[in-house]
Amino acid sequence: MRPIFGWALILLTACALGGAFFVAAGEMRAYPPAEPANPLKFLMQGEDFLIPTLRAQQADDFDNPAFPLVEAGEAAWTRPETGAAKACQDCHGAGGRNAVKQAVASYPKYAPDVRGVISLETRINLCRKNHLGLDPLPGDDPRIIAMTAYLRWLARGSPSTVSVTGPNAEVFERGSRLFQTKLGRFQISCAQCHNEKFGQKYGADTISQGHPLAYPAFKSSEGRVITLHERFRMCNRLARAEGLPDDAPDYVALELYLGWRSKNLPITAPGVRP
Amino acid sequence: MARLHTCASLLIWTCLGAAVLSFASSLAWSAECKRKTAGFYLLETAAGASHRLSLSLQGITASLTGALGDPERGRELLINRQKGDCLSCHKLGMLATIADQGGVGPALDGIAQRYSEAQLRQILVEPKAYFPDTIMPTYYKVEEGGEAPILTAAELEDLVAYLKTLK
Repeated sequence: MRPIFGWALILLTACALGGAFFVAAGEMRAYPPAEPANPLKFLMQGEDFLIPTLRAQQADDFDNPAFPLVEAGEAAWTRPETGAAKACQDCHGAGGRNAVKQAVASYPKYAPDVRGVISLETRINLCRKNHLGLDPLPGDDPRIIAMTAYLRWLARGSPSTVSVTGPNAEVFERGSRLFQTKLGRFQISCAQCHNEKFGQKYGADTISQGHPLAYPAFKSSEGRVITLHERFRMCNRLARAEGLPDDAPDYVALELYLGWRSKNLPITAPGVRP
Repeated sequence: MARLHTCASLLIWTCLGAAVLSFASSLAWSAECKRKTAGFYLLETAAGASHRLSLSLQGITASLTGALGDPERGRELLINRQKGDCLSCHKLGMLATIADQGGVGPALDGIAQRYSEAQLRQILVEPKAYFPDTIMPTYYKVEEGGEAPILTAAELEDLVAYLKTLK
Protein backbone atom coordinates (compact mmCIF):
# COMPACT_ATOMS: atom_id res chain seq x y z
CA MET A 1 0.00 0.00 0.00
CA ARG A 2 1.22 3.47 -0.74
CA PRO A 3 2.09 5.55 2.32
CA ILE A 4 -0.50 8.16 1.35
CA PHE A 5 -3.33 5.66 1.86
CA GLY A 6 -1.95 4.85 5.28
CA TRP A 7 -2.08 8.52 6.21
CA ALA A 8 -5.57 8.90 4.84
CA LEU A 9 -6.66 5.89 6.86
CA ILE A 10 -5.11 7.29 10.04
CA LEU A 11 -6.76 10.67 9.47
CA LEU A 12 -10.16 9.13 8.85
CA THR A 13 -9.92 6.91 11.91
CA ALA A 14 -8.90 9.88 14.03
CA CYS A 15 -11.86 11.89 12.75
CA ALA A 16 -14.26 9.03 13.43
CA LEU A 17 -12.86 8.42 16.92
CA GLY A 18 -12.97 12.12 17.74
CA GLY A 19 -16.54 12.40 16.54
CA ALA A 20 -17.59 9.36 18.53
CA PHE A 21 -15.95 10.74 21.67
CA PHE A 22 -17.61 14.11 21.14
CA VAL A 23 -21.03 12.50 20.92
CA ALA A 24 -20.37 10.21 23.89
CA ALA A 25 -19.13 13.06 26.09
CA GLY A 26 -22.24 15.05 25.30
CA GLU A 27 -24.55 12.23 26.26
CA MET A 28 -22.68 11.01 29.30
CA ARG A 29 -24.46 13.34 31.68
CA ALA A 30 -27.57 15.43 31.25
CA TYR A 31 -27.98 18.11 33.89
CA PRO A 32 -31.51 19.14 34.74
CA PRO A 33 -32.48 22.49 33.22
CA ALA A 34 -33.25 25.44 35.49
CA GLU A 35 -36.42 27.52 35.60
CA PRO A 36 -36.58 30.07 32.75
CA ALA A 37 -36.03 33.05 35.10
CA ASN A 38 -33.05 31.34 36.77
CA PRO A 39 -29.66 32.87 35.86
CA LEU A 40 -28.30 29.30 35.74
CA LYS A 41 -29.08 27.52 32.51
CA PHE A 42 -28.57 24.02 33.95
CA LEU A 43 -28.24 22.76 37.49
CA MET A 44 -25.33 20.85 39.00
CA GLN A 45 -25.43 19.40 42.48
CA GLY A 46 -22.83 20.39 45.04
CA GLU A 47 -21.64 16.78 44.99
CA ASP A 48 -20.59 17.18 41.34
CA PHE A 49 -17.81 19.52 42.49
CA LEU A 50 -16.45 17.30 45.28
CA ILE A 51 -13.31 15.20 45.17
CA PRO A 52 -14.26 11.49 44.85
CA THR A 53 -13.33 10.57 48.44
CA LEU A 54 -15.69 13.16 49.91
CA ARG A 55 -18.43 12.22 47.46
CA ALA A 56 -18.08 8.56 48.50
CA GLN A 57 -18.09 9.55 52.17
CA GLN A 58 -21.35 11.43 51.73
CA ALA A 59 -22.97 8.64 49.73
CA ASP A 60 -22.31 6.02 52.41
CA ASP A 61 -24.54 6.63 55.44
CA PHE A 62 -22.24 4.54 57.65
CA ASP A 63 -19.23 6.59 56.60
CA ASN A 64 -20.92 10.01 56.62
CA PRO A 65 -19.70 11.84 59.76
CA ALA A 66 -22.95 13.86 59.91
CA PHE A 67 -25.01 10.74 60.50
CA PRO A 68 -24.78 10.50 64.29
CA LEU A 69 -26.60 13.85 64.34
CA VAL A 70 -29.39 12.44 62.17
CA GLU A 71 -29.76 9.61 64.65
CA ALA A 72 -29.76 12.03 67.58
CA GLY A 73 -32.46 14.03 65.82
CA GLU A 74 -34.52 10.90 65.24
CA ALA A 75 -34.27 10.00 68.94
CA ALA A 76 -35.31 13.54 69.91
CA TRP A 77 -38.32 13.29 67.60
CA THR A 78 -39.68 10.26 69.43
CA ARG A 79 -38.53 10.76 73.06
CA PRO A 80 -39.48 13.82 75.14
CA GLU A 81 -36.56 16.01 76.16
CA THR A 82 -35.93 16.34 79.90
CA GLY A 83 -38.46 18.82 81.29
CA ALA A 84 -40.96 18.33 78.46
CA ALA A 85 -44.22 16.39 78.73
CA LYS A 86 -44.27 15.29 75.11
CA ALA A 87 -42.11 14.90 72.00
CA CYS A 88 -42.49 16.02 68.37
CA GLN A 89 -44.04 12.67 67.51
CA ASP A 90 -47.00 13.21 69.83
CA CYS A 91 -48.27 16.03 67.60
CA HIS A 92 -46.74 15.23 64.20
CA GLY A 93 -46.78 11.42 64.18
CA ALA A 94 -43.92 9.37 62.80
CA GLY A 95 -41.14 11.46 61.18
CA GLY A 96 -41.24 9.42 58.01
CA ARG A 97 -44.76 10.56 57.13
CA ASN A 98 -45.11 12.21 53.76
CA ALA A 99 -46.68 15.32 55.30
CA VAL A 100 -43.55 15.89 57.41
CA LYS A 101 -41.21 15.43 54.44
CA GLN A 102 -43.24 17.81 52.30
CA ALA A 103 -43.35 20.43 55.04
CA VAL A 104 -39.55 20.28 55.48
CA ALA A 105 -38.91 20.87 51.77
CA SER A 106 -41.13 23.97 51.77
CA TYR A 107 -39.00 26.05 54.19
CA PRO A 108 -38.24 28.98 54.47
CA LYS A 109 -41.93 29.77 54.36
CA TYR A 110 -44.50 32.27 55.54
CA ALA A 111 -45.77 31.52 59.04
CA PRO A 112 -49.12 33.18 59.76
CA ASP A 113 -48.60 32.79 63.53
CA VAL A 114 -45.55 35.10 63.51
CA ARG A 115 -46.50 37.02 60.33
CA GLY A 116 -43.16 36.48 58.69
CA VAL A 117 -41.05 34.17 56.55
CA ILE A 118 -39.14 31.81 58.83
CA SER A 119 -36.53 29.10 58.45
CA LEU A 120 -36.91 25.49 59.54
CA GLU A 121 -34.75 26.22 62.60
CA THR A 122 -37.10 29.01 63.69
CA ARG A 123 -40.06 26.68 63.24
CA ILE A 124 -38.39 24.08 65.48
CA ASN A 125 -37.74 26.73 68.11
CA LEU A 126 -41.34 27.99 67.92
CA CYS A 127 -42.54 24.43 68.44
CA ARG A 128 -40.22 24.04 71.42
CA LYS A 129 -41.48 27.24 73.00
CA ASN A 130 -45.19 27.02 72.24
CA HIS A 131 -45.92 23.31 72.39
CA LEU A 132 -43.18 21.66 74.45
CA GLY A 133 -42.53 24.39 77.00
CA LEU A 134 -38.80 24.31 76.25
CA ASP A 135 -36.33 27.15 75.72
CA PRO A 136 -35.50 28.05 72.13
CA LEU A 137 -31.99 26.96 71.14
CA PRO A 138 -29.22 29.06 69.59
CA GLY A 139 -28.33 28.15 66.02
CA ASP A 140 -25.09 26.37 66.94
CA ASP A 141 -26.65 24.11 69.60
CA PRO A 142 -26.08 20.44 68.66
CA ARG A 143 -29.73 19.66 69.45
CA ILE A 144 -31.15 22.02 66.86
CA ILE A 145 -28.55 21.02 64.25
CA ALA A 146 -29.48 17.38 64.98
CA MET A 147 -33.19 18.01 64.53
CA THR A 148 -32.59 20.00 61.32
CA ALA A 149 -30.26 17.29 60.00
CA TYR A 150 -32.86 14.59 60.77
CA LEU A 151 -35.70 16.50 59.12
CA ARG A 152 -33.67 17.43 56.06
CA TRP A 153 -32.56 13.81 55.78
CA LEU A 154 -36.23 12.78 55.75
CA ALA A 155 -36.77 15.17 52.83
CA ARG A 156 -33.80 13.71 50.94
CA GLY A 157 -34.58 13.12 47.30
CA SER A 158 -37.35 15.68 46.97
CA PRO A 159 -36.61 19.13 45.54
CA SER A 160 -37.06 22.35 47.46
CA THR A 161 -40.68 23.48 47.13
CA VAL A 162 -40.33 27.03 48.47
CA SER A 163 -43.04 29.42 47.38
CA VAL A 164 -41.90 32.71 45.89
CA THR A 165 -45.32 34.28 45.49
CA GLY A 166 -47.86 35.79 47.87
CA PRO A 167 -46.41 36.71 51.26
CA ASN A 168 -43.03 35.23 50.22
CA ALA A 169 -42.61 37.44 47.16
CA GLU A 170 -41.03 40.38 48.95
CA VAL A 171 -38.55 38.21 50.84
CA PHE A 172 -37.69 36.39 47.61
CA GLU A 173 -36.94 39.71 45.90
CA ARG A 174 -34.74 40.68 48.81
CA GLY A 175 -32.83 37.39 48.58
CA SER A 176 -32.45 37.78 44.84
CA ARG A 177 -31.04 41.29 45.28
CA LEU A 178 -28.69 40.15 48.06
CA PHE A 179 -27.30 37.44 45.79
CA GLN A 180 -26.24 40.14 43.33
CA THR A 181 -24.93 42.59 45.95
CA LYS A 182 -21.17 43.11 46.05
CA LEU A 183 -19.97 43.18 49.61
CA GLY A 184 -16.94 43.20 51.87
CA ARG A 185 -13.53 44.65 51.24
CA PHE A 186 -13.23 42.45 48.17
CA GLN A 187 -16.56 43.74 46.79
CA ILE A 188 -17.60 40.33 45.49
CA SER A 189 -21.18 39.11 45.11
CA CYS A 190 -22.54 35.57 45.46
CA ALA A 191 -23.48 35.68 41.78
CA GLN A 192 -19.95 36.47 40.61
CA CYS A 193 -18.68 33.17 42.02
CA HIS A 194 -21.68 30.84 41.93
CA ASN A 195 -23.32 31.96 38.67
CA GLU A 196 -20.20 32.73 36.65
CA LYS A 197 -17.23 30.86 38.13
CA PHE A 198 -18.58 27.49 39.19
CA GLY A 199 -16.25 24.64 38.27
CA GLN A 200 -13.16 26.80 38.72
CA LYS A 201 -10.63 26.31 41.50
CA TYR A 202 -10.58 28.61 44.49
CA GLY A 203 -7.54 27.39 46.42
CA ALA A 204 -7.96 23.63 46.82
CA ASP A 205 -11.74 23.68 46.40
CA THR A 206 -13.87 23.82 43.30
CA ILE A 207 -16.46 26.60 43.27
CA SER A 208 -19.96 25.09 43.20
CA GLN A 209 -23.24 26.50 41.95
CA GLY A 210 -24.07 27.35 45.55
CA HIS A 211 -27.16 25.22 46.17
CA PRO A 212 -28.38 24.87 49.77
CA LEU A 213 -29.48 21.25 49.44
CA ALA A 214 -26.77 19.40 51.39
CA TYR A 215 -27.02 21.45 54.59
CA PRO A 216 -26.58 20.82 57.48
CA ALA A 217 -23.33 19.29 56.23
CA PHE A 218 -20.14 17.89 57.71
CA LYS A 219 -17.35 20.40 57.00
CA SER A 220 -14.12 18.41 56.82
CA SER A 221 -11.80 21.36 57.38
CA GLU A 222 -13.67 22.22 60.60
CA GLY A 223 -14.31 18.65 61.70
CA ARG A 224 -17.94 19.39 62.58
CA VAL A 225 -21.39 19.77 61.09
CA ILE A 226 -22.26 23.30 59.98
CA THR A 227 -25.59 24.88 59.12
CA LEU A 228 -26.43 26.75 55.93
CA HIS A 229 -26.25 30.08 57.74
CA GLU A 230 -22.78 29.26 58.99
CA ARG A 231 -21.80 28.52 55.37
CA PHE A 232 -23.13 31.98 54.47
CA ARG A 233 -20.90 33.46 57.18
CA MET A 234 -17.88 31.58 55.77
CA CYS A 235 -18.62 32.96 52.30
CA ASN A 236 -18.93 36.44 53.81
CA ARG A 237 -15.52 36.02 55.41
CA LEU A 238 -14.01 34.99 52.06
CA ALA A 239 -15.23 38.32 50.65
CA ARG A 240 -13.81 39.90 53.84
CA ALA A 241 -17.28 41.05 54.86
CA GLU A 242 -19.01 40.93 58.24
CA GLY A 243 -21.16 37.83 58.66
CA LEU A 244 -24.67 37.95 60.14
CA PRO A 245 -26.12 35.98 63.08
CA ASP A 246 -28.20 32.83 62.53
CA ASP A 247 -31.67 33.51 61.17
CA ALA A 248 -30.90 37.12 60.32
CA PRO A 249 -33.64 38.36 57.92
CA ASP A 250 -31.04 38.70 55.14
CA TYR A 251 -29.92 35.09 55.55
CA VAL A 252 -33.51 33.78 55.56
CA ALA A 253 -34.19 35.78 52.39
CA LEU A 254 -31.03 34.37 50.78
CA GLU A 255 -32.03 30.85 51.83
CA LEU A 256 -35.43 31.32 50.21
CA TYR A 257 -33.87 32.62 46.98
CA LEU A 258 -31.39 29.71 46.90
CA GLY A 259 -34.23 27.24 47.47
CA TRP A 260 -35.97 28.57 44.36
CA ARG A 261 -32.70 28.70 42.43
CA SER A 262 -32.06 25.00 43.15
CA LYS A 263 -35.52 23.77 42.08
CA ASN A 264 -35.37 20.52 40.07
CA LEU A 265 -32.42 19.27 42.14
CA PRO A 266 -33.02 16.89 45.06
CA ILE A 267 -32.22 17.63 48.70
CA THR A 268 -29.12 15.58 49.63
CA ALA A 269 -28.64 16.48 53.31
CA PRO A 270 -26.68 15.70 55.35
CA GLY A 271 -23.77 16.37 53.01
CA VAL A 272 -19.98 16.20 53.35
CA ARG A 273 -17.98 19.22 52.25
CA PRO A 274 -14.22 19.96 52.10
CA MET B 1 -4.61 3.13 -8.85
CA ALA B 2 -3.84 6.64 -10.07
CA ARG B 3 -7.45 7.70 -9.56
CA LEU B 4 -7.46 6.32 -6.04
CA HIS B 5 -4.29 8.26 -5.42
CA THR B 6 -5.93 11.49 -6.62
CA CYS B 7 -9.00 10.86 -4.48
CA ALA B 8 -6.91 10.21 -1.39
CA SER B 9 -4.73 13.27 -1.83
CA LEU B 10 -7.82 15.38 -2.47
CA LEU B 11 -9.32 14.11 0.76
CA ILE B 12 -6.16 14.81 2.70
CA TRP B 13 -5.84 18.32 1.32
CA THR B 14 -9.46 19.03 2.17
CA CYS B 15 -8.90 17.78 5.72
CA LEU B 16 -5.76 19.87 6.04
CA GLY B 17 -7.55 22.92 4.65
CA ALA B 18 -10.39 22.46 7.11
CA ALA B 19 -7.92 22.11 9.97
CA VAL B 20 -6.07 25.28 8.95
CA LEU B 21 -9.35 27.16 8.56
CA SER B 22 -10.68 26.08 11.95
CA PHE B 23 -7.34 26.88 13.58
CA ALA B 24 -7.35 30.35 12.04
CA SER B 25 -10.93 30.99 13.11
CA SER B 26 -10.18 29.86 16.67
CA LEU B 27 -7.23 32.29 16.71
CA ALA B 28 -9.50 35.07 15.53
CA TRP B 29 -12.09 34.13 18.13
CA SER B 30 -9.60 34.13 21.00
CA ALA B 31 -8.26 37.50 19.81
CA GLU B 32 -11.82 38.81 19.86
CA CYS B 33 -12.31 37.44 23.38
CA LYS B 34 -9.09 39.08 24.54
CA ARG B 35 -10.11 42.36 22.97
CA LYS B 36 -13.44 42.19 24.77
CA THR B 37 -12.01 41.42 28.18
CA ALA B 38 -9.11 43.85 27.91
CA GLY B 39 -9.50 47.58 28.31
CA PHE B 40 -9.51 48.17 24.57
CA TYR B 41 -13.15 47.23 24.66
CA LEU B 42 -13.78 50.49 26.51
CA LEU B 43 -12.72 52.40 23.38
CA GLU B 44 -16.00 51.61 21.67
CA THR B 45 -18.41 51.19 24.57
CA ALA B 46 -17.57 54.05 26.92
CA ALA B 47 -17.13 57.09 24.73
CA GLY B 48 -17.22 59.55 27.65
CA ALA B 49 -14.64 57.70 29.70
CA SER B 50 -11.59 59.12 27.97
CA HIS B 51 -9.68 59.90 31.14
CA ARG B 52 -10.30 56.45 32.51
CA LEU B 53 -9.38 54.93 29.19
CA SER B 54 -6.07 56.69 28.86
CA LEU B 55 -5.32 55.72 32.44
CA SER B 56 -6.23 52.14 31.71
CA LEU B 57 -4.08 51.90 28.64
CA GLN B 58 -1.12 53.71 30.08
CA GLY B 59 -1.17 52.24 33.54
CA ILE B 60 0.24 53.98 36.59
CA THR B 61 3.84 54.92 35.88
CA ALA B 62 4.74 56.55 39.18
CA SER B 63 5.39 54.48 42.27
CA LEU B 64 2.71 55.02 44.91
CA THR B 65 5.35 55.60 47.55
CA GLY B 66 7.92 57.27 45.33
CA ALA B 67 10.32 54.43 46.09
CA LEU B 68 11.02 50.98 44.71
CA GLY B 69 9.39 47.99 46.42
CA ASP B 70 11.16 44.97 47.87
CA PRO B 71 10.50 41.87 45.72
CA GLU B 72 11.24 39.49 48.64
CA ARG B 73 8.55 41.08 50.81
CA GLY B 74 6.27 41.11 47.77
CA ARG B 75 6.64 37.36 47.41
CA GLU B 76 5.53 36.86 51.02
CA LEU B 77 2.53 39.16 50.49
CA LEU B 78 1.54 37.20 47.40
CA ILE B 79 1.54 33.94 49.38
CA ASN B 80 0.06 35.26 52.65
CA ARG B 81 -3.61 34.21 52.86
CA GLN B 82 -4.47 37.22 54.99
CA LYS B 83 -2.73 39.74 52.72
CA GLY B 84 -2.50 39.46 48.94
CA ASP B 85 -3.75 35.86 48.90
CA CYS B 86 -3.04 35.85 45.14
CA LEU B 87 -2.62 32.07 44.92
CA SER B 88 -6.21 31.32 45.93
CA CYS B 89 -7.18 32.48 42.44
CA HIS B 90 -3.94 32.41 40.39
CA LYS B 91 -1.42 29.67 39.68
CA LEU B 92 2.29 30.34 39.87
CA GLY B 93 4.30 27.35 38.68
CA MET B 94 7.49 28.85 40.10
CA LEU B 95 6.08 28.43 43.61
CA ALA B 96 4.78 24.91 43.04
CA THR B 97 5.67 24.00 46.63
CA ILE B 98 2.82 26.25 47.81
CA ALA B 99 -0.20 23.94 47.90
CA ASP B 100 -3.78 24.64 46.85
CA GLN B 101 -3.27 27.15 44.06
CA GLY B 102 -6.51 28.25 42.45
CA GLY B 103 -7.56 28.71 38.84
CA VAL B 104 -10.06 31.57 38.75
CA GLY B 105 -7.63 34.07 37.22
CA PRO B 106 -4.84 33.59 34.68
CA ALA B 107 -1.52 32.04 35.73
CA LEU B 108 1.09 34.53 36.91
CA ASP B 109 4.11 32.89 35.27
CA GLY B 110 5.66 35.31 32.80
CA ILE B 111 3.23 38.07 33.79
CA ALA B 112 6.00 40.70 33.51
CA GLN B 113 6.34 39.87 29.82
CA ARG B 114 2.66 40.47 29.23
CA TYR B 115 2.29 43.70 31.19
CA SER B 116 4.53 46.66 31.82
CA GLU B 117 5.35 47.73 35.35
CA ALA B 118 2.86 50.60 35.05
CA GLN B 119 0.15 48.22 33.89
CA LEU B 120 0.90 45.73 36.68
CA ARG B 121 0.52 48.58 39.16
CA GLN B 122 -2.77 49.57 37.55
CA ILE B 123 -4.05 45.98 37.72
CA LEU B 124 -3.25 45.74 41.42
CA VAL B 125 -4.64 49.17 42.27
CA GLU B 126 -7.83 48.87 40.22
CA PRO B 127 -8.10 45.91 37.80
CA LYS B 128 -11.58 47.00 36.69
CA ALA B 129 -9.96 49.78 34.67
CA TYR B 130 -8.75 47.10 32.23
CA PHE B 131 -11.25 44.34 32.90
CA PRO B 132 -14.62 45.90 33.76
CA ASP B 133 -16.32 42.63 34.70
CA THR B 134 -13.48 41.05 36.63
CA ILE B 135 -14.02 39.45 40.03
CA MET B 136 -10.54 40.55 41.10
CA PRO B 137 -10.72 42.91 44.09
CA THR B 138 -9.53 46.49 44.09
CA TYR B 139 -6.44 46.27 46.28
CA TYR B 140 -5.76 49.94 46.75
CA LYS B 141 -8.84 52.10 47.06
CA VAL B 142 -8.41 55.16 49.25
CA GLU B 143 -11.60 56.92 50.27
CA GLU B 144 -12.12 59.88 52.55
CA GLY B 145 -13.28 58.40 55.85
CA GLY B 146 -13.66 54.96 54.25
CA GLU B 147 -12.07 51.66 55.14
CA ALA B 148 -8.33 51.23 54.82
CA PRO B 149 -7.31 49.68 51.48
CA ILE B 150 -6.59 45.91 51.37
CA LEU B 151 -2.88 46.59 50.85
CA THR B 152 -0.94 49.67 51.92
CA ALA B 153 0.90 51.70 49.28
CA ALA B 154 4.23 50.20 50.41
CA GLU B 155 2.84 46.64 50.28
CA LEU B 156 1.45 47.25 46.82
CA GLU B 157 4.85 48.48 45.61
CA ASP B 158 6.50 45.34 47.08
CA LEU B 159 4.04 43.21 45.15
CA VAL B 160 4.70 45.12 41.91
CA ALA B 161 8.42 44.64 42.49
CA TYR B 162 7.94 40.88 42.86
CA LEU B 163 5.64 40.57 39.83
CA LYS B 164 8.26 42.43 37.76
CA THR B 165 10.63 39.52 38.39
CA LEU B 166 8.22 37.00 36.82
CA LYS B 167 9.66 37.15 33.33
